[in-house]
Amino acid sequence: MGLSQQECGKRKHRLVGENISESQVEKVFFLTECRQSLLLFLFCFTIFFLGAGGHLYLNDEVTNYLMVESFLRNQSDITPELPYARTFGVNMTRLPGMFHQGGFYSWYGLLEPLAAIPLYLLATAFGYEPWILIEILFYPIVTAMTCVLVSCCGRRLGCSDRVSVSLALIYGFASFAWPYSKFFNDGPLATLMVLASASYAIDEKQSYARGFLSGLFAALALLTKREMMFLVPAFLIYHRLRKHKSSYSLIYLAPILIGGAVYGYYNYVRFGSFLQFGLGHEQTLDAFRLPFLGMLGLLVSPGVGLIFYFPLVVLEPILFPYFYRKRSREAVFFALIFITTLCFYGSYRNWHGMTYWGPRYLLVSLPFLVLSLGEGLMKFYDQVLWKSMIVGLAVAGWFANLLGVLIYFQVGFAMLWYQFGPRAFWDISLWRFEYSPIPVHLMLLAGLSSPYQLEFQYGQTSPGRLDLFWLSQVGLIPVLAVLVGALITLPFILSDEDRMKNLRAKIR
Amino acid sequence: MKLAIEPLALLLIAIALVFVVGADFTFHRRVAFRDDFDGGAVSSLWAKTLKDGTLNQSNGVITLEAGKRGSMSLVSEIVFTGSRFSVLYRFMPVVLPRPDAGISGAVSAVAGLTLGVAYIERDWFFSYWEANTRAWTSIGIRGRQGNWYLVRWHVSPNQITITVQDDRTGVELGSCAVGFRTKQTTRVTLATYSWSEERISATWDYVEISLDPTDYRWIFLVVASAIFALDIILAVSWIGSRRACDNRDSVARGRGNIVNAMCDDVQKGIS
Repeated sequence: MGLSQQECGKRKHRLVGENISESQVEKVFFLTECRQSLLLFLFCFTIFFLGAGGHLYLNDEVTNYLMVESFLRNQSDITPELPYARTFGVNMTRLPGMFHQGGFYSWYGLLEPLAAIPLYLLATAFGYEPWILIEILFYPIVTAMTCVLVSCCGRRLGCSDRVSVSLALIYGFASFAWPYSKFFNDGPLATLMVLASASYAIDEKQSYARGFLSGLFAALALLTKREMMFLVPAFLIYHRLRKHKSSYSLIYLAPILIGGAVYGYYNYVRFGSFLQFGLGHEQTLDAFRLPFLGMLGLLVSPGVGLIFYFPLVVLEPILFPYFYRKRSREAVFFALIFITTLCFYGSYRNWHGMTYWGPRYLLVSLPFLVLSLGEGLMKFYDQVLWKSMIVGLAVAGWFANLLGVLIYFQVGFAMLWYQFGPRAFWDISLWRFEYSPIPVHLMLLAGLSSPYQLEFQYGQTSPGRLDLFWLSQVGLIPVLAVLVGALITLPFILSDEDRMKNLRAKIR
Repeated sequence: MKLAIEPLALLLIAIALVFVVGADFTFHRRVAFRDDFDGGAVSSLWAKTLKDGTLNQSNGVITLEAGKRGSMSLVSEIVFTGSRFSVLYRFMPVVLPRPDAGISGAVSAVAGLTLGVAYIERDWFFSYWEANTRAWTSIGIRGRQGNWYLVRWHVSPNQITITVQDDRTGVELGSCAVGFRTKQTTRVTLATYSWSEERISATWDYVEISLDPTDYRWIFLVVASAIFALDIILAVSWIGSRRACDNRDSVARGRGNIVNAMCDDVQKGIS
């Protein structure tokens, strides 16, 4: 139970009476939130950091890294003379991108390689290999920031501190976001940008400045991953639902248009066309089809289905209505983001996004799925049965994705590839549960299956049987010690200062 | 009793440092010198190590004067690798028996130079210790088969040329010229020598703690230290807040008005 208005008023008055202004009280609350966010960030970062693989995974990542080196040399194309390409003898024809007038150009966005440049410079200043430093730091930082943002959004949506932090932990460790903290792929950064954009959009206090910031992060999302432009209508619909003025939407759109112009100019410099993203055939309508199979696969296929890599999603049909009743506009907004993502990627011929871990294309909409569970978690917080079910599904998600963190996913896929051949491999690993990544990785971990010794190229070699860089560098005991050190902070992160919370709620 | 956060945090960071870096703790027992020379020659070599001095490398010649007695100087390790030889220079502090005091005499820390030569094809390895030598460009070594070899080298600022020659026949077995591949390493070596005058042999037992600034473990160390320091700070603040709020007189000394007010709320209970 909270304070009565009268009691709260008295206490507030008393606080003010003790020469403490209301703004000072607000400041204390703000600092409390900041402290909790900082602790959450450190906890998440430490766990992601411990799970880092310390190497590049697929040609997509090699391309992204080569873009870093390319930008640092004021180039827009990727050449075999770049240091990494020269060291590892990278074959340009196998990289995702397009040849144009003798140059090779990536189809990936601008922001991720640009954002990794500081780490590159740091690595060279200290004598580290830049690609290793980027691998072990970049996405652990980005994903930890996303976790913090999830908890902030949870608070903005009216969840308690504990539930907000729980949502962040669910996102970080009970979903496929965790394995993606290892890969230098653009998904996690795009997710952070979209979520940042949404966090300004859903803020109760509205202003043109917030609208602009929302648009700015949407523009950054666009510069990270061009498909993010398809989420803009969801934001505009949300503006209408909140009855914002048209000028607000225009201010939101302005940075996006500038971002689009920058991306267009980048395309023009490379290909002589504003709309050529380097995808070639992949950006034509021929690469798309009716979305039913893709949607079904992204939701329920054992290979990449959401229910296997984020089991808590099975509670959405039950918990989402609570969210809708409490915050209908945000519920519609989040649902639109998820449906847009699902339909767009579900209609793409490569809807599964293999060979990666889980439904990587749905990563952008994952925070919104997680946040929509918040109201239901609050509702059933004190009911043991529900609580057990939620915890059980969260643990199942944690364990499933732990397998993706521990074992290099390419090893599992390669085993099936050699067993069934390149033709049958796709369907078997997508639709037959026993050959899908989760059981295959479980068998590998248990020693019941032997991984094929692949000759990975381009610095993509796993540091050992387990894909854990730090385990190979410092050994088991230091890794466990740091893990325990991080877990010690968890009770402080999850502490819910009920009295503070109630006081804050009443004062506000 | 007031708990001080900083010393505790520093202590934990220090523990973390040893913990992580100490993961590379290795105990070596290596024959540093073993030969059938007469004792006098060898002893005279040891004796030279006790002088103070500096290390220089110029005009293609390595010269070394032993460091200040009792000091522990930093170590620079340079590894040369060729197709047939690998040569290791290591400048390090070592602990040696003082020859003037006999086997059980006092030990003294001086700077030294280790040269290790591995001749890959013939399967022998030799580790030689020398110090305070000027214009030292060759050495006679004996392989496991009992043959003697003469190793000559010429060191320039960016290259070393090594020639190995069969001492009995005079036939040159091979040579290589390799560029310097320098790896900056800070190495603390704790070593003890045992020395036997009768058999003219020395065994060298030492524990190494490698501190390589470009080692990725430093990054791990930073994260580990941060998380351990955070644990301590949280624990101390938790203990402190419980103590403060357990105090019935909420207006305790050393607490600001805001904290006092918050403690009041906690103390009186808001339900």
